[in-house]
Amino acid sequence: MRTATNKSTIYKRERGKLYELSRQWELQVMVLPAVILIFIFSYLPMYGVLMAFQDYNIFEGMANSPWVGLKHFEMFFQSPEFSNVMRNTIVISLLKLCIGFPAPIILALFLNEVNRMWFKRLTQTVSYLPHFMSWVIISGFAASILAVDNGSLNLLLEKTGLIDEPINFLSTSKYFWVILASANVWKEIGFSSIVYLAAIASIDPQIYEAAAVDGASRFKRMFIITIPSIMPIVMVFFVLAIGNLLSAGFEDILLLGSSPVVQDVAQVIDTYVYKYGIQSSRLSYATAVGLFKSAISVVLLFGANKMARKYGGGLW
Amino acid sequence: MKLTRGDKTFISLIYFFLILLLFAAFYPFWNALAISLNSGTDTAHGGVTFWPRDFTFDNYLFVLKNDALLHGFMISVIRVAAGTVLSLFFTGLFAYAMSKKILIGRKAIMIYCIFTMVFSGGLIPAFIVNRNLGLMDNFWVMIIPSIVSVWNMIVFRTFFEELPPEMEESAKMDGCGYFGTFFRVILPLSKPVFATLGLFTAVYHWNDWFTASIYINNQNLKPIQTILQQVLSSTVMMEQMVNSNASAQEFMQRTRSVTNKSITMTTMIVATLPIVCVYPFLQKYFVKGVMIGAVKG
Amino acid sequence: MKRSGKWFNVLAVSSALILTVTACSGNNTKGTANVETTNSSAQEGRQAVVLGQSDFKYTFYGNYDWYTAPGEWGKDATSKWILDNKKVTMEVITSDGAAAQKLNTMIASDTLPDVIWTDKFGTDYERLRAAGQLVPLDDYLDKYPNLKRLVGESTLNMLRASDGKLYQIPNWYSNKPLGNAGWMINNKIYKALGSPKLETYDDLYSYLKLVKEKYPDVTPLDLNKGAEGNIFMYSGFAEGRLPTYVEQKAYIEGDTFKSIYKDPVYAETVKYINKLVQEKLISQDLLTQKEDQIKEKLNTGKIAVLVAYDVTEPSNTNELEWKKNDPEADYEVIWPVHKAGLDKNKIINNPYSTLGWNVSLITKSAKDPEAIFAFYDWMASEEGQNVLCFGPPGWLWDEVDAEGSPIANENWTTVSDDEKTAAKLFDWNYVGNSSFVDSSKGKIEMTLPEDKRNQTAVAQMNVTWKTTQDTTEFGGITPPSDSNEGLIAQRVNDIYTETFGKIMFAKSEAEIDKLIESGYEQSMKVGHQELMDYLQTKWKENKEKLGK
Repeated sequence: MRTATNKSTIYKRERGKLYELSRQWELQVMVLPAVILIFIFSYLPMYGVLMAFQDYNIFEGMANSPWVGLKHFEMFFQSPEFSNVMRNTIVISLLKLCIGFPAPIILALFLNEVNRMWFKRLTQTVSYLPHFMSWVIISGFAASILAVDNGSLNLLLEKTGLIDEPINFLSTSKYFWVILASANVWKEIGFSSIVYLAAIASIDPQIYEAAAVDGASRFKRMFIITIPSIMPIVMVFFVLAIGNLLSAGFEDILLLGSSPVVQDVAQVIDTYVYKYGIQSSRLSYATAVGLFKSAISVVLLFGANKMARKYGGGLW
Repeated sequence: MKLTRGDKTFISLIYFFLILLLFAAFYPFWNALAISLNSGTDTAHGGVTFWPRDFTFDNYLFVLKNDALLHGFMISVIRVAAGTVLSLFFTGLFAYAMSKKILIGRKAIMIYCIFTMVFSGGLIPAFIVNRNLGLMDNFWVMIIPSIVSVWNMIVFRTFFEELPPEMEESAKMDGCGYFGTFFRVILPLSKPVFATLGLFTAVYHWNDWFTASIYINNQNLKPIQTILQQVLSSTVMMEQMVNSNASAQEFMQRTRSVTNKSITMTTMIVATLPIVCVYPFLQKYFVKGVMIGAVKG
Repeated sequence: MKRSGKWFNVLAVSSALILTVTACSGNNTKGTANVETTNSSAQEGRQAVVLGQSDFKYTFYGNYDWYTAPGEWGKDATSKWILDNKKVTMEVITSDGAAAQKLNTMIASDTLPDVIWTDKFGTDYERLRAAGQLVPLDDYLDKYPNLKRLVGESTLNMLRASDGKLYQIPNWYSNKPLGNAGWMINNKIYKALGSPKLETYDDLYSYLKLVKEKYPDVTPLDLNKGAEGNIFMYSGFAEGRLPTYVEQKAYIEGDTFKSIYKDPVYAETVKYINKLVQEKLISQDLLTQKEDQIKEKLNTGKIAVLVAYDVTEPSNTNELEWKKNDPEADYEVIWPVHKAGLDKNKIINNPYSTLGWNVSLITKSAKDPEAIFAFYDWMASEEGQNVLCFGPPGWLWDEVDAEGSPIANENWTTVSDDEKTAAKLFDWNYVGNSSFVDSSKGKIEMTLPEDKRNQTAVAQMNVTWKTTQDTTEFGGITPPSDSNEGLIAQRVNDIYTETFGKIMFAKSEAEIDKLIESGYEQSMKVGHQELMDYLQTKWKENKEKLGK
């Protein structure tokens, strides 16, 4: 008897599930093409990560390349560059996170307070221009602005009496991280703020009106209405940024950190992989380091998501 | 609405900050524009800042005389249009479904997606897959693999989740299915996010030169950025090449003399101006009041 | 909804294709075996290929990020002449900025181009050869008349692989000294300061101090981008010291490679340069300045002395913009500055190699490798070089002299540079013969009136080509980058770059000594000795090949 009822409830539940599924067939149809596309273009090539455990011979293909276990991982962990590369990666990406993450949010909040439409539009359009400049061109600007001989910044600092001797910005380790972070903020602040502007634009203006009637100052309205309203998207980006913590940057570092003197603070995982992996055709090694990076990212992402969920956000 | 004293200082501070940013962001671009309109030999003397000193269109004539460029421009425009529309359509629908808590398998699909943001098989397996799909030297290689963007899906979803549920419910009352609701209610309410992600996708398609340089050999299918990348990388690489061997001097000098600073700047302007111009047209979707119109209408 | 209906069709087709993916990913070697048999059958008893009888097409991949197709084949005067007369079409594949990745995908998918244009003895050459993907050229060499005769037996020997076969077709090979590296002074400043003696490093030091005093806005000494000039300063501190020693991080004493950090000449050099940097006689931006910044200084006469890889180009004042506004403006290449007491004729600034710059490789994907070789053989010939560098016959030249060099006609001076550029002169030449082209150019220069002559040639004749040494024996000794030694070399280079940078800004001689010592220890730790042993072995092998 007992088993029978169990069976029937299971049957019911299954039927219920099928029923649910049939009721939401439209949703499933919406999901299906995306799932298939992701499968083809992301999952099918995924077997490539196995290269990390092989001595991949590009002429023989993966099927005929010898398996070497964790050799490449050990090589990376034991390489003389490892500790330095990890330190730089973490410091640079934390710096970018602390400065680069809030900057576009603040810009979006500020733009929201601007009443003059033309000024708002102008600032938006102009601040997004640097996103389109390549790092090659930016590093050219940086080299001339930060030069010791007649560099604009040194001239300015000397004129205002802040320094007596020009500073060699580009060839001093301690300035490198700051220069890198500021250049990144400058380049991306306008472009990244667009999504926050969209979030602000989606807020119901009636809420603002109500708050104004209640006598809240503009400054206060920003805190009690705007910021809470854009919080969900901020949280989502924050979680994604944490997951991306080991991607400290590549082209910017390669081009701004060209001085040999700053090499010990400029080498990060991605530049290391480029130099010791891709440029020198060591594909397995590059894959292994990449896989290591991915593994750490997964842990970080899950951790950040768990934290975010406590505050009602999170990706899943 | 009267402004308090605190409000006034607050707003002046904001204006001060924004004007500073305006200048910092504008100057390098303006400078590049001035250099692109200045003769190359004069630019090499330095000191060109706000206005061209020796005005000329020669740099533009040089860059634009390349026949492939106009063709590449057309390819880019088609790519941006097709890529953006298809991507917004599929990713938008996908995200809408993902924003529904009742969706069966929601969490599993989310993790399935997130996983691809972190792990990737690398270029070679991807190349083999695309080649076997017949996408080598095929226009669609620039479109199809990037139709679904997980990142965009997450952003879309976050916005959809914030929409007030009452409106959807009223649509349901009217007998709309999920598709109907999406097109009749969600879409009009989500103009800001569609504008944003449309812009991001368009910018991605416009700027991406790498896909075509790997998958496209046919010069007639190359988008403008891939063609311009040749000009740009020759500037960078030639600097290093000079050192390689003295006997190649003549060869290299010829190639080098045309890729000076003016050409680099002109190339950049030519490559970015069309896409930069898209933004001002989208800005109207960032104006407050989308919601209010939707509720009343 | 119509759109997504279509979409599902696409998906259905795609998913069917997926099944083939897994099957295809592994077996890349299969195809080559077939090609090999057709190759050998094509060779046996075959008559030499005569160009121009039937249409022939091949694909050409330039394995460099910067490589751009000169244009569409057949659209300009040079390639059109070749197409009309030789019926050959070269189909260019460019990497558009992603050379390494593109080559990898071509290898992995077994779709190699017919010809790859790449660095000689480069990593890509080595791995393609090791995998049997390249066509050996030895059989063709005897069958066709030009390449063997013009390149020369000893150079060809040097280009041979360890298996004794030849795969590389050299580009801009040469059998005479060449090079553009050295010293150049700003003549206007030099004369204004009373043309002091400028031969030794002591002379230089006092001259630079004088410049700084009298012309505070002028950079007294510039080492060009990345401070590249330091290696030529190094070679001025001892007789017979090659700049190459610094580049390979090892000098040769007797017959052995020793770490550059243990070289007293190196220590002396960097201490001298450091002193100049400390006293601001060299720009503090020496490590970070970009090419544009240097060009700007040169164009406005703001550099007093320049040491660089190429000093003949900026000294070619006929083309210098600065001169247009200032008749006294002038740069001049001078004999290398050196340490007092050394024989100035034994200072070497321009090591050169007869092997040239880079090479073309014919791959086994080529359906008819012999025809490609035949075309290369023709391009290498005097006629080929004339067409590729000086345009089709009947335009700038009509006849050739006894040595095959073209004799310029009146069009030579009247045709504008733009038209010459449009004809893609030099651009299609991937098998350049430096000696022949240079001497042809030289002969034409001599027939021109003095003010139309190119001053580069003058500087080369008088200085840079006299401070040369044949260093062909060092050709291809650097290890492939994916080998163990290659990894060491990469690390040793990184350590060196950083050490050198720090030395430039060191505050005392003691600090420099410490940095040199630490550079030595770090390099040794990552296996510098192993690398030097490798270089030594390769170098000895080369010397044997050359019969030295």
